[in-house]
Amino acid sequence: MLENVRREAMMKKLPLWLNKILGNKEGAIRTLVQIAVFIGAVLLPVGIFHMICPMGGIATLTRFFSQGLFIPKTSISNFIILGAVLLVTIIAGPVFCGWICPLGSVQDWVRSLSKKLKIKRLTVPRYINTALSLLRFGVLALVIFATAKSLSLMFMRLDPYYALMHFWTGEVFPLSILILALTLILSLFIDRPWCRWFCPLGAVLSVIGKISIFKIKKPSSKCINCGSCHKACPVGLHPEEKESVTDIRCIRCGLCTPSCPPKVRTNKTNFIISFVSALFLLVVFFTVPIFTQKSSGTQAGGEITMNTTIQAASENLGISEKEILIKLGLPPTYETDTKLIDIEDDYEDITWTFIKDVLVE
Amino acid sequence: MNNTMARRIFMAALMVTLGAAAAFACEMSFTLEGQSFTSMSIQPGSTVKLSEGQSYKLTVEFNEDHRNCKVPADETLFLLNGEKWRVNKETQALLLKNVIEWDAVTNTKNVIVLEFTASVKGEQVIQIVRECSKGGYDEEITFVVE
Repeated sequence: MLENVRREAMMKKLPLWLNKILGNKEGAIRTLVQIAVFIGAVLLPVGIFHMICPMGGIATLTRFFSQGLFIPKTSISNFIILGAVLLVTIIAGPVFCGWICPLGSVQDWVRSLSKKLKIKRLTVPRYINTALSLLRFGVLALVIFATAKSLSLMFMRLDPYYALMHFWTGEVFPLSILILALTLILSLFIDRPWCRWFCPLGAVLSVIGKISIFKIKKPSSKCINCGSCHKACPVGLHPEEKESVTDIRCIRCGLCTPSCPPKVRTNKTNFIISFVSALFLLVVFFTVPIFTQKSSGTQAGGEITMNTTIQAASENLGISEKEILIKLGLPPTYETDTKLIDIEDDYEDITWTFIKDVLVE
Repeated sequence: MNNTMARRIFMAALMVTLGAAAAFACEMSFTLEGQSFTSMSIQPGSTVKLSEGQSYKLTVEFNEDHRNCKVPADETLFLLNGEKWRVNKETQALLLKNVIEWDAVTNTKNVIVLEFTASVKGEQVIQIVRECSKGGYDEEITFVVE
């Protein structure tokens, strides 16, 4: 009791913004996790970002089951990450959506900005919100169908998640930037429009989340039906209506708990489960690509490709140019700026398969 | 225009956009024409049966759908069993009859027709490779000549 009084007295002396953050510890912790994921994802190189896409895992499954092959740009890490996301979803629900997804985070931040700008939130009628949320399953079916037909990452062409993280590269399709822009504009008026109505990964996780072991419980047993948790819910649910939130659209953000008036709030289990799950995902996301990259040796250092020159192969493999020429049976005067694949233009027997056998294996 | 109408128009526009996007072709598509059949679409990674001594036309369509694709179509590599697929190279199991030269149909669409004869029985693997810093393209088609 005395500690609470002291704490309140201390907080009154703090600036308003710091007071708000400390007064909403749960919200601040979640924001910190979101920022960490966002910065980490921005810093990842283009090729690696494909590896941390759980949707890429779903897309890859369509080919892996039929042919045992990966779709270009995906790898075993997509499966591991998809597996981790699914495991967490089975245990704690779609924590990925509420805590990890950078696109979800940015929508949250845009919405927060719009509150600062005093832009009024559009209230979507309940039945329309429910009906529109079914669109996610349509998008999911479209993605799986298009991926199975084309055997490429078709969704990348539309994906605002991917556009967000790499809009400055030439890799991103204009259409996905347009969808991202529309999503962010809409986020000024509605909480998380992409997550609510269009996200195909969200569709998958929401169905699995339905059978999750832990569900979001009503923030307090002393609920006074004030509606604060509904206002705080970024997907427009009503946590106050039942003892636990069974709606498949719940993204386990945990925002309903801190929104509950302090005198009424008692239950912190929701937040702890989501937080621990999010930390687990955070670790998996940024260690798996590094581990699989090192173990497979397919991405960076030590690699040679068809278009690698003899000079570059020497640097990458850490052996002298002279040694490479000897290993390949080339004369010492052979031009070392020749690409490995082009050696067979001069020496018919020194094919790419032969070069790989000699230099890599 | 009220809010409901504006929202409806927006949603309709977004759905049309999503639909249009689904019409994008894959990065590369392959069609095979033979003497005993008119044409068939081939999925990369698949296995196709050919008859020994028969001639075929493999049409490859490549769409440069990235904004800044820096690797020209000409730099696409075609390998047969791990070595460059060359025109009139008698020792290769699929005897290529024409030079590999892309036809730029539009700014972003390139097509090539590869005419070849299945001259040797056995499993022959065509590998199509485009190397770039953004993942590139690397696929195989296996032809089983019987």
